[in-house]
Amino acid sequence: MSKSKSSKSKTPFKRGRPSQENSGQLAGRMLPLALRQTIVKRFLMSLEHVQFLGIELHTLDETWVTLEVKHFKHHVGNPATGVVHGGVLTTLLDTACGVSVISSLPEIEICPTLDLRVDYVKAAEPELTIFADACSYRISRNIVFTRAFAYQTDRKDPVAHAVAAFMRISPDAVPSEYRDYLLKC
Amino acid sequence: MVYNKSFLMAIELAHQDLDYQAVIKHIPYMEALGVELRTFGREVIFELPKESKHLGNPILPALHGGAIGGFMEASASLYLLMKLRLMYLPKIVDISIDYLRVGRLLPLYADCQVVRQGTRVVNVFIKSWQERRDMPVATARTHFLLMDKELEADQTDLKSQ
Repeated sequence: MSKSKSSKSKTPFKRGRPSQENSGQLAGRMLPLALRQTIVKRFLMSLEHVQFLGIELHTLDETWVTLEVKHFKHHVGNPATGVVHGGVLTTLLDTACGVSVISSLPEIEICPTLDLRVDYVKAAEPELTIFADACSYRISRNIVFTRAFAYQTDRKDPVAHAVAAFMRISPDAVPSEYRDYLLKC
Repeated sequence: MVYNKSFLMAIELAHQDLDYQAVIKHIPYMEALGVELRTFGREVIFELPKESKHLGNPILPALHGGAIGGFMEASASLYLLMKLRLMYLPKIVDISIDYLRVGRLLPLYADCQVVRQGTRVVNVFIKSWQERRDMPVATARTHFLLMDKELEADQTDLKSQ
């Protein structure tokens, strides 16, 4: 995989292509929105644990990625109250941050989580859908810094907050079959 | 409310028989993950069995960070229930997870340690590993809130029923 700096580019876009859709710090260094949506959907589909919990993409815009998870019986962490287990929120927020990393980089890169901190600021209402908004607020050469929050009915009244850092590995580390899989509509 | 009472009874029974696997059966998320626990004298080790549904990264393949985090959190809450002989599951306040190595498609183990117990809050340190205990996959520190007044009231209601 290491010799892929060769003549034919594997990605359907030019490196550093300026994009009118983007604004702010990361402007001009992102993939087109429609393509990012495809990649994110396909990426989520390929994660078994995400499928196991039923986490899906809700919306994706220039800066924020929103995931949603509907209520399932196997999410309950406390049978006395019917409240979802913190692990469901942890997975939702970790996935949301991970997806925001993929969506904000100029090329397809799979970045492992370095660390994740979650604050469970209030108990979730049982049986309501949970949303998670995530964004990458700083992309450096080696690390991507992200933050996310989870909420149910009101975006301003979150149930959990998270920050996570991701390690960048080279885009060359993504096997070409997996890249093709992600780009398939 | 019947469900509530059976959970409380399961905890009571578990404290008597020291068989906490029965408590896990009442917690849907832990049951779905397949969390198991083993005791060796005073030591408790939790296990997340090798199953493909815990995978995150499909290339390596590697366990999902959320599955690792959820498992460690579940382990810590059970550990507190056992060690402090709680009659309820403590409420999580926050968790901070460091992912140190790739979690392979192998069983994941965890052990917990109470770092500091206050009157309302407990700090727990969790370490998880796979093949070798001295090569941790992840470590975490977390805070749990001990008794909740509402919960306490609910439970006395239940007991008196």
